[in-house]
Amino acid sequence: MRSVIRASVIVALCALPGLGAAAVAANTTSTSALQADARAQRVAAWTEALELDLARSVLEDAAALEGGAASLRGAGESLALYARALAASGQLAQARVALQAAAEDATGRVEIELELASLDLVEDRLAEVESRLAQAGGELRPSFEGAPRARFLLGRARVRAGDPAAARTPLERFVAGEPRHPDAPAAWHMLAQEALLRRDLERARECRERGDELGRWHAYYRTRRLQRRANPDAPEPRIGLAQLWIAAEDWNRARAELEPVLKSHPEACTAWTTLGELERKQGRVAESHAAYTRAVECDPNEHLARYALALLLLDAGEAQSARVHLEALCASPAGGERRFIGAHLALARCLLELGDARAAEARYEHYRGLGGSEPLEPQK
Amino acid sequence: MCRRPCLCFLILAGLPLSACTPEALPADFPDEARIRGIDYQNRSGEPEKATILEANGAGVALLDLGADGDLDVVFAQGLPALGALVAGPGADLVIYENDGSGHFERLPGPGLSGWWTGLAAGDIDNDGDTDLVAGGYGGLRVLWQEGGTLVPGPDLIALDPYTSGAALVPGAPRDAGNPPAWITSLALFDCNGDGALDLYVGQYLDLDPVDPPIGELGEGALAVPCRWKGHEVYCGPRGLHAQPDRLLWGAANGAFWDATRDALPGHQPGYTLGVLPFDADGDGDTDLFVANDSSANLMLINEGNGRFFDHGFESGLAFSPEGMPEAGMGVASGDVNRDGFLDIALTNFSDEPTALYLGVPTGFKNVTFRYGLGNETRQLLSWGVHLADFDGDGWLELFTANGHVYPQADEPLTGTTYAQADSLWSLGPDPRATRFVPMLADSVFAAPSSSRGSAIGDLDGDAAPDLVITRLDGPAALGMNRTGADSHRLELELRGPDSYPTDYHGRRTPRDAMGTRVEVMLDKDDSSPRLRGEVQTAAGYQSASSPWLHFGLGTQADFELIRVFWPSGAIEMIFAGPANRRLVIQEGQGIVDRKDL
Repeated sequence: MRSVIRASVIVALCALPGLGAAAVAANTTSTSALQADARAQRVAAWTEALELDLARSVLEDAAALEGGAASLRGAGESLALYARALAASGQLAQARVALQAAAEDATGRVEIELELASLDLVEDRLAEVESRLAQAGGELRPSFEGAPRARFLLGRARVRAGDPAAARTPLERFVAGEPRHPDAPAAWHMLAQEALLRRDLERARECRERGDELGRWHAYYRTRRLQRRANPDAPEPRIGLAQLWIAAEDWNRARAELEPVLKSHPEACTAWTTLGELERKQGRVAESHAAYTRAVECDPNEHLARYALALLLLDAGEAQSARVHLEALCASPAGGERRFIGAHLALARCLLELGDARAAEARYEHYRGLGGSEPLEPQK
Repeated sequence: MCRRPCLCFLILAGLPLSACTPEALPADFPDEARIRGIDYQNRSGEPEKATILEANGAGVALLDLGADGDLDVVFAQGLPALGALVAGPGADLVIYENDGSGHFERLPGPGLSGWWTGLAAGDIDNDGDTDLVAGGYGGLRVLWQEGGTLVPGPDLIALDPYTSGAALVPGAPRDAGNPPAWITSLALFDCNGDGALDLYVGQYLDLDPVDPPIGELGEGALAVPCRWKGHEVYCGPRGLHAQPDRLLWGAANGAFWDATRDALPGHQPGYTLGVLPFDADGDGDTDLFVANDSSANLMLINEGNGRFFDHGFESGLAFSPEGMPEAGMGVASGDVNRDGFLDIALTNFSDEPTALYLGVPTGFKNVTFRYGLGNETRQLLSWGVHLADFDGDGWLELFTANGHVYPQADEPLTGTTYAQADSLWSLGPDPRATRFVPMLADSVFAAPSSSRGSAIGDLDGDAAPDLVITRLDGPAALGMNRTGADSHRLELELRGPDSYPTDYHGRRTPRDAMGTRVEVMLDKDDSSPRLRGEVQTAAGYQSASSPWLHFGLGTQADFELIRVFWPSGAIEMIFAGPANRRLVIQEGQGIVDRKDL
């Protein structure tokens, strides 16, 4: 309906005096940009739904489109996701039909071919995957060069076909090109098994660790998204997502999760702590300082923020201010927690810097008593 | 229920009644439970399946009660509701005695009270008859066989380090926040070569019977709804606390003690559903494969002294080939491709294939997709599993007992169904899974149902392994094997020595020969393929199959050589003989009994 209205507006605008071709072109561009934006949003939403095992919602969305699922013809990426949803709901034949009907369309040809390859995999048609994605020499077909998923599917088919050695190159290129792709943990696992077969134990261990770490990240990511869906207005899931993106060093996505929370829930003190962490990781000391300060003001028991703020102050040479925060943290029940053991060392060093050697020594002994082993004097 | 197989076949095939001669009986597995006297009806909670306990069902055991040479049947049993377990009284085991021809009469139960899940069979006290261990939700009990009946023995859930809360006594007051031990599959096997059976206790997860999680896990804004494909379903296993398995070492008098700390160093709890003892590395001792739900499977390699280390990752068995922890329900072993290495079949959730791993010198390789099992089993959620030569052609078939856990599977767009027909595939000689198509309306493979535990054994004395299948909230099925009418077969019962000299200090064979490996050669050429079997009763899901080995010789009417590898280290050879016999072989004495089939 929206596109109909938009088209009517354009027609109406053309009729207005003073609005020539340039204005129409500008509006047309703007309309296509809007459409592209809508498509991108749809792709993102459907991708997430499929990752969360919610194929049904994709099918419902598609049915609700103007013109139904048939309107997806020409929108290759959306069509591929729609077909994936059909397959996930047991309608493999329908998925194949939908894809094949659109296969000749110039747009989204690659996505459609990849989805067909994915269906081939589901149906154990391993040779078909190979011929669809690879050339005679085994290299990826040039048309898939820009599609990292093609490398994953090819590698996967080769592992399933019992040729992990041939899977190695596409899988290595896949994880290099798409290090945080949802399929990357699987790729690392297959690489680990392949390395084991070559008796390259060091590489196998490395691949396994990478896969395990990434797998844990994706498990958390999945859970946080489910929590966000269940409680879309609650700050906690979004803060959790921001923390995951910080761990992944994707600052923009972390900020995108955090900013709406800070705006709608300024009382969510952990969000300020997380913002402080985000700013600090990006080297923005002043902004980090401000965010941590806000977090501590928001909740004096926001211990992580207090600790991080104290460290920032120490780095800035403001030992007296740092001391206040560290003493508060060390005196709190959280001061006995293992994760804050470093606060006792930091306080000892702070006291030393302030010339209170006796208090520094006493605090350092306390730190040692908690199990710390670093020297009091920082090593140069 | 069609009780006249020939008639059913004729109806299906549109053949005239005159075609109804014995020769015309189709090769199938008619369900003859009712007409043979098995009226067991499983109870497993309420139809809505609000908790995970209610979805997992019961196991079955085949064992010879009364040493009369036939297999009797024992079923585990649950209750109509979780609340009924707390309120009491609990359920008892259900026992059927075989009259030797595969017809059964119900016997009184042993008098247990609980929610029983897994069963293990073996001669625990080395007195020459088969005993039983019953595991359940809050129960783990030995049942001695005495005079052909099962008598309650030690309550193993009282063993240290089980806590007092591990036991669930139906009817006894119980506070919330105190989940009992939940035992699933059990395995009786000898892990340390002392001739006494040890017990691996597979355990699932913490489920509070008083205040079970419903609808979501976690609290407040961080709660995660319990959903599957957008439908609200019971919670777990993910998000619930996995219980560690236990390994109890046994003494020759049948006593057990907990050796988990020493015998399973570094054990990582998973959600154990299936346990399979077998000689995975061909070194003569018994290893263990542990199928874990939604977590890494374990391939526990025995160091020869009963201590196990997990090599799941290195052997390629921990995860799917793509590194996914799958549902790991039931597991079976057998030499599918007749290359001398034991292979493994592992059942999984829907949208996950039943996996087939071929043994290779360095571990196992996944051939699921090359055999076409990815596509074949994609829609199935499978539990009990067996690799056995049902049709006697010399190649193993794959049986899986199927049925979804969620009644919501019948909602649109799930890609699967709640009730599912059980399945059977031939796996050789063509290395591609070919599905058996039932011809009878009352075939156990015909109608969709909710199968769980399963056991195989020759119930009617024709050397063809039959099937006993438990079905959730429904009657058990008895699939009488009517396949391979032209095949020649061999059935072997292995026995360890009645006793060892008092000054004997070497490795011993258990009296029931558990762990004994057998090769059957069909011709003189030493390089020709040979048929392999291993005496173990634990296989599939929560169940115990017959310890007797079944070999199909195909068109060959005799064997060239039987080679027996006893756990004691002794190797015994039986030279050429005719097929279609049941042979009883005892260590050191060769064939001690034989019967033409």
